[in-house]
Amino acid sequence: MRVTVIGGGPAGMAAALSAKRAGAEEVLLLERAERLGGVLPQCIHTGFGVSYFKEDLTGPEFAERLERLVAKAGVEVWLNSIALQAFPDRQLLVSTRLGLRALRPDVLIFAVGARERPRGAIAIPGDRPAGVFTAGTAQYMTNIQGLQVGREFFILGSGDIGLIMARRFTLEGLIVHGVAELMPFPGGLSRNVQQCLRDYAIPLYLSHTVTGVRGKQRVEAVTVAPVDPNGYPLRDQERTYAVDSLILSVGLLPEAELLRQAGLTMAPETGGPAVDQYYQCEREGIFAVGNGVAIWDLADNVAETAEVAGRAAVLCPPGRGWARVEGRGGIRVVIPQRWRLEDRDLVLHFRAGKPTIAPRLRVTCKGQLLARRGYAALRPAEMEEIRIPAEKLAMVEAGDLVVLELEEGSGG
Amino acid sequence: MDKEERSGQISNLSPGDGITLTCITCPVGCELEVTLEGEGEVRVLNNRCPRGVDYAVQETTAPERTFTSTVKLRGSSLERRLPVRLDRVIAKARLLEVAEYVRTLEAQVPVTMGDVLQDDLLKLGANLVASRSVKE
Repeated sequence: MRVTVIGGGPAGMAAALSAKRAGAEEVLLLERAERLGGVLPQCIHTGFGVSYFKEDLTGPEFAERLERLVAKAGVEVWLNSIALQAFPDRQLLVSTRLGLRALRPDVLIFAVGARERPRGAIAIPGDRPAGVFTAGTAQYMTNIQGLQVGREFFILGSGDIGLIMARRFTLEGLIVHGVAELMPFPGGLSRNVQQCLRDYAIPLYLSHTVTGVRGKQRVEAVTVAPVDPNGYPLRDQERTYAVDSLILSVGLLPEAELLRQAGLTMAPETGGPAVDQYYQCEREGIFAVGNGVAIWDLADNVAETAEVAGRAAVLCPPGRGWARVEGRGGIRVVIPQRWRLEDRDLVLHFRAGKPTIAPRLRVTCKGQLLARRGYAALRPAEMEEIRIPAEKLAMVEAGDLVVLELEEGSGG
Repeated sequence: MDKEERSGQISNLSPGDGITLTCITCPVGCELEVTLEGEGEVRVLNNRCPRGVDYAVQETTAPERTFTSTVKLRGSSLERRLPVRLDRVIAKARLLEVAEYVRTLEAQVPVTMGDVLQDDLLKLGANLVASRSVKE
């Protein structure tokens, strides 16, 4: 069996590795950059690998560990190789240093990752000077290229990369004036609010947004205002910060172009393709893993779920049908969106739409209860899970709808 | 927000005082309700695992953090910076000083992940090590 994996980040490496270990004769890993690792080499902070390697590693260490395993397992790696076009029949057009290549593997695994939401996607009014960067770009410039991005910063959005960069800038002797978050709760993990902002007394302004950018050549100032409950800025309470850089940490979106070309439809809640519990897409032999499916909290989650897909790509017998899975009533994202019928427990990964204290979650199908679980709290920044026992799933048939929702009257 | 701001200030607490701490040991980020009972003794609520208690004790007596950065890398055709880390946690209060010092350091290829670039950095009892390998 020939397996081709597109993308050499944590998802692609973990998928290639597990496909090889599961017995695939030929596994080819394509990476467009000059090194494996995806975003990990620029994520120089710790917090990686706690679950996958049982050790607290930096991003580069996590990448190198995986890279060594990939090499040892006998996965073929093509660097500087970009998949230009994908077709629904798994054909692939790849640009390599040796020229164009056409491939048609038995199994195609997309591990294409995500890109950052750019300024255009959030429509900040004002001038268009230099000095506006997405957090990941600033991180690449700082940690890989060794460039100084700016001197005085304001950060819009409280995603994890923005929080991490607030700390990084501060440790480099630069000044971070504050972080504005449109929502009334932080976008990143609580631990990062603590160790990246509070540790350095960097203010976090919840329910605030950037209302304008000023500057001719370079950013000279940004204006920031609180927003009302509908998200409209309260202009009379605007404040001005004299900064030379605005950093955007306003979320990630799966990089979907190739997936669309392959004939897959994107789920509106995730921005990625609908997958089953083995990360197989709606087309047989096409899998999608990692942040190309949905945005996970951690590289560990990405690697672990990709591992499931790599193994299944080789070992899974043809399915006997699928049921749909849907999140409702306070549940924003559910992975998988399709359940391939089988006699095993099913773990659903989900994200709540807003912070909820002491909620009860229920999973039903055709009016029957499949699982119920209480949580101390649900936070939108954190992906949670619920397990449904195999014996409860026995009544679910192909084409049925499984619904995941918060119980009314629970939570607050 | 006011409450959150205050929870970061734990230096002038006396026994009986209660604070909220966000545990940073793992990604779960438990919001610990911590009450000081005496020197190095705390009562902790809301922790989902025993590490929360260790964290609360450490954080209310001598807070510690990991440290990572990059240094200039010489001799590589591909990479300009080398990611580095300290191989054990250090006092939180020393972070800025350590960062300033590490900015003056450089490394030379070839370097292997785990190589000690400087031992006992600033006499903190922690070594500065390479976070990745760069062969050429």
